[in-house]
Amino acid sequence: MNASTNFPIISLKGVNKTYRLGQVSVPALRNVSIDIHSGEFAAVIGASGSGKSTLLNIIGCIDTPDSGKVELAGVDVAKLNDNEKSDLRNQKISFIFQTFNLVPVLSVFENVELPLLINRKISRDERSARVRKAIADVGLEKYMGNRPDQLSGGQRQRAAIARALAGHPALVLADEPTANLDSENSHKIIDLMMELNSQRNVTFLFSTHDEKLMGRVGRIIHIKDGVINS
Amino acid sequence: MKISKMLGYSLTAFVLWSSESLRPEAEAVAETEVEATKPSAAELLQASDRARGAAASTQGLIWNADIETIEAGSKNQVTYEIRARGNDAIAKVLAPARQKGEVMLFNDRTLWFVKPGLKKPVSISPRPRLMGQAANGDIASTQYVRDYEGKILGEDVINGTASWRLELQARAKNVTYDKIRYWIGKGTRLGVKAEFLTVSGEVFKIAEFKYLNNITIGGKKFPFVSEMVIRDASDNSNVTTIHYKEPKETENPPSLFNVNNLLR
Amino acid sequence: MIHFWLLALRNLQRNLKRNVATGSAIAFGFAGILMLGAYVHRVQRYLETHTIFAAHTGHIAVFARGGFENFNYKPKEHSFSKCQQEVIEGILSADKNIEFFERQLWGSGLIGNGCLSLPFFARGLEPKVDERLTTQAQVREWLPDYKPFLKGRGLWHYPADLAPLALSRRLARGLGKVAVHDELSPGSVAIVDCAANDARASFARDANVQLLGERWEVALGAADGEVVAHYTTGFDESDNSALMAPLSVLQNLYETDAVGRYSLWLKDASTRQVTLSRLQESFSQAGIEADFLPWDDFQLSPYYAGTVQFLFAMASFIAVVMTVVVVFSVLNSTTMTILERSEEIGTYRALGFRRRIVRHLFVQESVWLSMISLAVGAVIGVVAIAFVNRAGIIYHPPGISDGMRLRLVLHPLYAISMAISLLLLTMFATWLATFGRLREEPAKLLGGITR
Repeated sequence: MNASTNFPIISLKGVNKTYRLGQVSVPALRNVSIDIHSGEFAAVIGASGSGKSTLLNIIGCIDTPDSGKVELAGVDVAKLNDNEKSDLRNQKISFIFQTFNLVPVLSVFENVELPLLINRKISRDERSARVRKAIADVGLEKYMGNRPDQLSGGQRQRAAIARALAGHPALVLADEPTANLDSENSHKIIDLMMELNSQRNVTFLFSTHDEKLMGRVGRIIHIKDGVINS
Repeated sequence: MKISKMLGYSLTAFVLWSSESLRPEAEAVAETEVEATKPSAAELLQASDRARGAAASTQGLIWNADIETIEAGSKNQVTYEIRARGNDAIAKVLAPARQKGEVMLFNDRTLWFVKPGLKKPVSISPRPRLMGQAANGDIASTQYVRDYEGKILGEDVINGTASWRLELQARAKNVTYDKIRYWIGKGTRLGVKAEFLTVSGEVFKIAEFKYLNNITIGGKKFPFVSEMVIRDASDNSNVTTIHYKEPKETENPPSLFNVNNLLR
Repeated sequence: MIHFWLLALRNLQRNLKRNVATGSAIAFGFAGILMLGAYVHRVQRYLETHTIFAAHTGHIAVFARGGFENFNYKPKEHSFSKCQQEVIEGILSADKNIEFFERQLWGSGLIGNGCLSLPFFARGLEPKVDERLTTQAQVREWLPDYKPFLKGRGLWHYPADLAPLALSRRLARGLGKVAVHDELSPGSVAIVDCAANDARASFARDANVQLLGERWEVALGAADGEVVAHYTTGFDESDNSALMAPLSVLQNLYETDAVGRYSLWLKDASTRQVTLSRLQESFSQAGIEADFLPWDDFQLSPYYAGTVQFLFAMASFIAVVMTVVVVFSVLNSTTMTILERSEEIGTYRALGFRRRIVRHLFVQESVWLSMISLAVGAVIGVVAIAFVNRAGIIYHPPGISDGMRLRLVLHPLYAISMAISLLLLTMFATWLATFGRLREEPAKLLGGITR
C-alpha cells in the first residue's frame, strides 16, 4: 500500500443521497464525509443495502448526491457538466463491475481497447501497446481474441480489470468484484489488484460484504444504513 | 161596362200575356246565339293556321318567303320558295347563290334537309334555329291545331285588336316549341301575337303577324300572312322578319314531297 | 471511429429475430414504396404522353384571345383568320424550339345516315400531323401498345376529297355504321327505305354519312363524309357523339377558313416556359391577341391534371402510411433493444462514453439494419416489378381509349430519394428512442440501487 497523505484524491463532505421507490424514500447515504488518499487500497464493507454501491457510484461520478460536496483530485464534481464528467471517468476513473459488464460481441482485446477509443490524446500505436500490456498484466495473452462467452468467470473479471487499467486511471472503483467468483478466483483477483496497486500506485477502492477479504486491504471503511463508521 | 172598354182591356191583357209568354224564348234564343259565338281553341287554331299556310286546298299552295335577320348588328337574307299540300311542305332556297338549291322537306312532323351534291338527306328537328330568331319549323306552313293542345285562358287587346288568349301545349316532342302563348283576333280569327316559352315557362322569343296578303282557294278569298316579326325576348335588337309574298293556290303533286325524289 | 461501425454491425447479431422482423418491415415497406412509385411514375408519364401527343394537346396550346372559354358560343370572334394564320405560322416556323404545330377547329352539329340523325362534337385536325404524332419517340416509349383506332386506319391514309371521318364507337353503332370504308366496296352508297324492317341492316352497307352544322355566317351547312375508322374516347359521355375529321372538312361544313387553335410540339419541353414567354412577346409585337396555355393547365387538360393530382395524393397518402408503419416498427424495436441493453449503456457511460457517442452507437446499428433491409427491399421491389410487367395485365381507366397495360417503371432518382428518406427516418426514430434513456444517470442504468 502506497498511501499518499499529502492530499486526498477523493473528498466527500456531508454527502446525502436518497432514492425514491414509489411512495417510499430510501436514504442511501446520510451526511457522509470521507477522504481517500492517492495510492490507497481500501475496501468499503457493509451489508447488502448499506449504501456501499451508492458511495462508489457518487465517487465515480455516475450518480449525483442530493447534497454535499464531492471533490476528485481537488475538482468539485458538481461544477462539471455531463460531458466533463464523462471525460473524467474516461481518463481518471475506471470501474470494475460485479457482473464484469464486458461487451459480448467484442474480443478480449477489443473490450480492453474500448475506453481508449474515445481518448483522442492516445495514438493508435500507443493504444495498441497499452491494451497488450494490460492484457499481459492480467495474464490473458492467450485469450486476446476470445469473446467473453469463451472465458471463465475469473478470466472475464481479469479482462475487466485489464480494461480498467488500460487507461492508466488514477482511481479504480470496483463494486463487489469477487461476488460472482469462487473463493480461489476471488483471492486471485484481489491479489492482482493489490499487485497493481503496489506497482503502479493506482488507488483502489472496492466494495465487498466478504469479511474474509478484510485482512488483505490497507483500509476498511465500514458503512451501515448509509452512515460511515471509520 | 161598355164593350169597347172590355175589348180594350182584353187586348191589353192579351198583349201583356203574349209578351210574357214569348219572353223566355226570346231570352233563350239570345243566350244560344251568345253561346254559339264563343269558339273552341281548336276552331281558332284551325282558322289562324289557314292564314299561315295550312289552308285546306286539294291542290296545294305556293308562296315565297324572304327571311331577313339582324343579329349583333349584322344583317343576312335568304329567300325561299315554299310549296305546301296538306301536312307536307317543301322549302327551297332561291337566294343567295351559295345556298341555292338547299331544301327543307316537311312530311307531317318529320323534317329533312337536302343540299345539292349530298348523297343522302339529313333528318333534322324543327326546333333548332334556321337563321336568326327563326326556327326550322317556322318557315313553312303552321299546323298549330295538329301540333298543340290549346286552351282559351282569357281575352286581351293586342295592338288595338281584341283577341282570345290561348295557351298551347305541344302534343309531341318533335314539334317546334314546347309551349306557346298565342293571341288570336276575336273578329278576324287570325294570329296576332305569339310568345314562345321554354319548358319552365320563360318567354324566349316573341312574334307578331300582319295579314296584308290574300289568297284564293277553291274560288274563295282568304287573308294570308304577309309578315312575321320574331324578336329575341332578352335582346330586342336581335330580330328576324319573314316576308310572305305572292301566295297562291297551285298544283303540288304528292311526289314533290317524297324525300327520295330530292336526291335524283 | 471505424471500430464503432464494426461494433454496430456485430451488435445486429444480438436479438437476431427482432432485427430480422424489423428489417423485414423496412424491406417490404421499401419494396412497397418502390412499386407504388413505379406505378405512379408510369401512369403519370403515360397520361402525359397521351395528353400531349395522342390527344393532340401539344406542349403549348394557342387560342385566339378568349377563345378557350368562348369559341363554342362565338366562333367567328374567337378564332384566327386566314391573315392571322399566315403571321402566326411565320412566327412558329421561325422559333427554334418548336418542332412542329397543328391547326385545329372544332364544332358540333348533326350526323345522319339518311334516315336518322344524331348530334356530334367534332375535332378538326391535320391528318399529316396525326400521322407524325404516332411516330414520336415519347409515344413509342410510353405508349408502345397505342392503337388509336378500334377499326380502320388513320385519316392520313385517305385523300381529302373523300372527307374521311373517324367516329366514336357508340356513335358509329348508333348510326348503324358498323363497317368502315376499307371493308366495303369502293363508292358504295346504299339507298335505304327508312320505313322498312331491315333499314338498320342497310345502314351498314355503306360508310357514307352526312354532317349538318350551323355555318358561321348564317343558316345550315351540310357535307358528305366517309367513315374510315372507329375509335373510343375512353369516356362514356363522349363516346356516343365524338368524331374526328380533317380540318378542311369542318372548315367546309361551317364555311370558314378560320382556325380555332394551334397546338405546338417542342423540341425541348423542359424550356416550355421560356418558349411560351417568347411567343407571347412575338405575338404581341405582331399585333395578334392570343392566349397561351401549357399542356398541363387544369382547364386545358382537366383529366390529366385532376387524375395526376388525385394519383399523387393517394400515392403520397399510402407512402406516408407505409413510412409511418416502418418508422414505428423501428421505434418499437429500438425502444425494446435499449430497454434490454440499459446495463450496457450504463457501462459505456461509466467507461466515459459521452451521451452523444452512445447514441451514435445505436444509430449506427440502425443505419446498418436499414441499409441491409433497404438493399433487400430494393431487390424484392425490382423482382416484383418485373413480375407485374411480365403478367401483361390490361385495364381500362377512363379517358384511355385503348386500354392500358399494367406496367411499373421505376425511376432511379425516386428510388434513391426514398431510400435516403427512409434511412434518415429510421435514424431519427432511433435517436428518438435513445433520447429518454440517455438522460438517466449511469448508475440507474447499471441497475444498482439496492446493493
